[in-house]
Amino acid sequence: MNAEEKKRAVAMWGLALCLLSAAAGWMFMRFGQAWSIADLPQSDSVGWIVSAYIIAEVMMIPVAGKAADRFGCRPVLALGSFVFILSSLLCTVSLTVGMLATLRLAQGAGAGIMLAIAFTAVGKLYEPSKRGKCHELMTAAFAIGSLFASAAGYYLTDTFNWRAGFVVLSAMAGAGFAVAWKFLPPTSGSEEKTDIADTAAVALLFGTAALYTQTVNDKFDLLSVPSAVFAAAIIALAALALALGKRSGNPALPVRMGGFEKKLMFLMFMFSMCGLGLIQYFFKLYLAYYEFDIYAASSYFLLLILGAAGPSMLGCRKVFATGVRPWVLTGSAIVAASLIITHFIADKGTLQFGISLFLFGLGLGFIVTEVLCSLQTVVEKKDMGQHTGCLMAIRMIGILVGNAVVGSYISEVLHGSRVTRVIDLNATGNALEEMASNFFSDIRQASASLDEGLMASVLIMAAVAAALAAVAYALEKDDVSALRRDGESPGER
Amino acid sequence: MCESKPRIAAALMAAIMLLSPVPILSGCSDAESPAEEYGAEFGIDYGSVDGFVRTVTGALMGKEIGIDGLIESFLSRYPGYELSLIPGMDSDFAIKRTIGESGSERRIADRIAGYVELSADFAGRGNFPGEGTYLPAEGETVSDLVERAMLSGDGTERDLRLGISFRLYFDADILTLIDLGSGEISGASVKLRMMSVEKDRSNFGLDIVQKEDGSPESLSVRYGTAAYTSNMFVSLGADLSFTGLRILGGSGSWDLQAGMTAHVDEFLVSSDFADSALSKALDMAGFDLGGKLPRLIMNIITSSDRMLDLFDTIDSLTGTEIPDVHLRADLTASDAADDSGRRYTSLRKTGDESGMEIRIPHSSYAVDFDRLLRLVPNYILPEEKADKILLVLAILGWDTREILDLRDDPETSESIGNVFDKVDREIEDDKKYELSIPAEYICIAAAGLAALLAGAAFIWRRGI
Repeated sequence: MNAEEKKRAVAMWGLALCLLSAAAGWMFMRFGQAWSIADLPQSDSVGWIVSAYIIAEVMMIPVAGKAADRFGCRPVLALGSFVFILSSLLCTVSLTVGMLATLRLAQGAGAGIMLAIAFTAVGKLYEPSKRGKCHELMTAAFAIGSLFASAAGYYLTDTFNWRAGFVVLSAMAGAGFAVAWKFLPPTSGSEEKTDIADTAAVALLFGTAALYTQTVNDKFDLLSVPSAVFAAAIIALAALALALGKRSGNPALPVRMGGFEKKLMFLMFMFSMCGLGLIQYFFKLYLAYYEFDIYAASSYFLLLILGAAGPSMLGCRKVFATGVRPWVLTGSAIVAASLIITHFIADKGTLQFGISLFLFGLGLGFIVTEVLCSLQTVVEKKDMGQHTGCLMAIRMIGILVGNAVVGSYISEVLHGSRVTRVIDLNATGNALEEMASNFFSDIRQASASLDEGLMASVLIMAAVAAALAAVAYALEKDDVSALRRDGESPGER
Repeated sequence: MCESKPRIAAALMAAIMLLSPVPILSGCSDAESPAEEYGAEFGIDYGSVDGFVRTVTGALMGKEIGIDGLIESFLSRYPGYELSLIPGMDSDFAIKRTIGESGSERRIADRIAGYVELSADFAGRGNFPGEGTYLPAEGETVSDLVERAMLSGDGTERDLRLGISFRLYFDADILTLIDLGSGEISGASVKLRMMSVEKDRSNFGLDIVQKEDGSPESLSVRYGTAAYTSNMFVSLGADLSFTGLRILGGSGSWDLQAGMTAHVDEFLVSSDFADSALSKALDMAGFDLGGKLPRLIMNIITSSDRMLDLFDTIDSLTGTEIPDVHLRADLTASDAADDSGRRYTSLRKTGDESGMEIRIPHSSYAVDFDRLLRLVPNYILPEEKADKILLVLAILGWDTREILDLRDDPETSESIGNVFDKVDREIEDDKKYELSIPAEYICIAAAGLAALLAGAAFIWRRGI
């Protein structure tokens, strides 16, 4: 490794730290939000503290990717880090929940930019055959940030104050940016001017889609008129963004991509929905099983990461030679099998829990990094940000849609299983005791219903994962291995 | 504890059932009145309590002694110590009623609100004990142990200070509908807000550990400023329904059904309240918290400085919405009259002739404190203490008390308005949290912002 390569490698660690902060920023206030902001005046907007972040993050990912193509990675990363650190620091001195939610919106925007740049920079700075290791690092940072942020947030709030989490996030992002800025080589921009209307339409599309996933289960049901209106608005915005993109000379979305890319985008969306979208509910279920011991529940995510690490490490190194099809085919089969296994054994004990999580991670390890590497292989470097940003935004939307669908289904199950209890004063000696007993059995019932809802969803997701194998099979004719056989891939240009 | 459980049920039932008859309690034959609006206000302050104490001491001891005199005589038991105790008390209650008729229905809308504020400031200078743990002597009670320990000075002159304040505010809106055709209560709804605020500040602390039988195990004395804020706010609504509750024109005895659906809108508790009063109250009421309420929820509730909504916290962690409480009861009603000939409708649980009786007066009404005190669970008010209270009430002539007439005059309206305003204001003020950002986070944010801006300027000068 020469000096230049060493510098790039160090820069990747800096970017990974930025990505870790961005990923952790979403979930670290997820559990016990009311507690997290307990010293702010009471407000009904508490839910927006988490939602605002993810909406802004998803909204900014495609925009930032496109901006990296136009201006290069360094200035866009600088802007994203500045916004993230500034808003994180201001969050620590928030005076109201509304102010905190607004700052979280800005923080999410910064996080979206950092996330897009981390993955785009890998594509822009490395040749296809060498991207694997870097994507493995980025994927690990993203997974660790997402999966352990709840426990870390809980620890910081419990030990210090909810504000400490923001200090840690800004310090991590600051350190990551400083390293990345020092060692990241400049990447060339483009002279083509940004189409503001098209870019705004794309941001609006992804922002609205993210907003829908955050409100569908909270404000209205999935199968309701408001939901249909919202979905229609998203479709209309998608049509508008596509129309503007096709007319634009420099579209924000890769509207002219080939069939192979489209299939990869579709697979990324579906697997994110079937896989990563379930994780929040796994966590809630674990919490219930572990008597709300957040650390014990979180520790089981190590098994998921352990399961994913092996195939991911192997896949991101070999996918350039083998093509993505065998990896996604194997991965979809394992994901489907692991979900079926989850359905039947996960609630039988902690060992079974662990096994199902490990297998789940194993399946996803065959898919996520491999799809990302393959997509970047067929994309020219000048368009890397546009394609990578779109893929990552689709991935995030997939996660959120999975969350919303499973959440809606579980809400239905919870609602259906709710029994109206009437205490008959003629039949009971102690009405308060009966109320207490009802209260605790309602909590148990909710846990059981959550279990039942998740397990049913898991089976449906397994069927979807199995069906995706057919899409994966159809990747063959455009696969990267074929491109390799034909000569230099676009990603090398 | 077991013995007290039927009393808990009785108290609950009383609370539920007493909510509906309140609108028709008065000395003004309200239930049979046409459209009117009037009210009453009633307050007890330190001066009136002092007067009661003088009456009681006069009757019991043959010499009238006020509160100050009692305190003085108590403190004089400890020569060598400079002690002072200043108690404070204020309370006011008000009811405003609006009666109207629409079609064949009479609507009685009441607002009942009030507050009680109690305080005590204690200061002492003398040879108080050193810090440490004191063990009881054989057969020593808690109060004996405290007295002995506090008088066992270690030769050091110390200043002790203790300030306690307790405030309770309640506000209820009650709507009762009476079908004029059948004379039955066709429905009732209640909205209740209640806030309790307890603030203690002291420069010393006593930790008493008791055995299961109530005898002392140890007493620890420590010095240092300590503050305790135990706040609770509950806001709930209840809809009551009745079948066959004849109020106007009932005679003989008949069966009826009563139902209630209660919904808690807010249940805010401070960490100190959750740590002590809530746990104890739930435990005493039969809610065995041990191992049932997830530890995480208790951690969250008890580690916050501000009041948190217990139900929202449970919901956010478990996805469990706390359901409404539905109660039903089969009751036997009968038309009856008390010794003074006041007519009322008597309600008892069907088949439980010896159980608690609820009286819904037809016109004038007398509060029977004996009946009310017997409803309080034994663990809160032991029978012997209730007897003593009843003796005092009898001396004051308060064992049976006519409810004040509701009046319709400007002076009463103004004082009612003042009570309502005070209750509204205090509840809102106490629900508000005084925001204080920890100083270290202000410093971190300022330093971070300075570093960020310096970094941004540096990068800008170097060229992006």
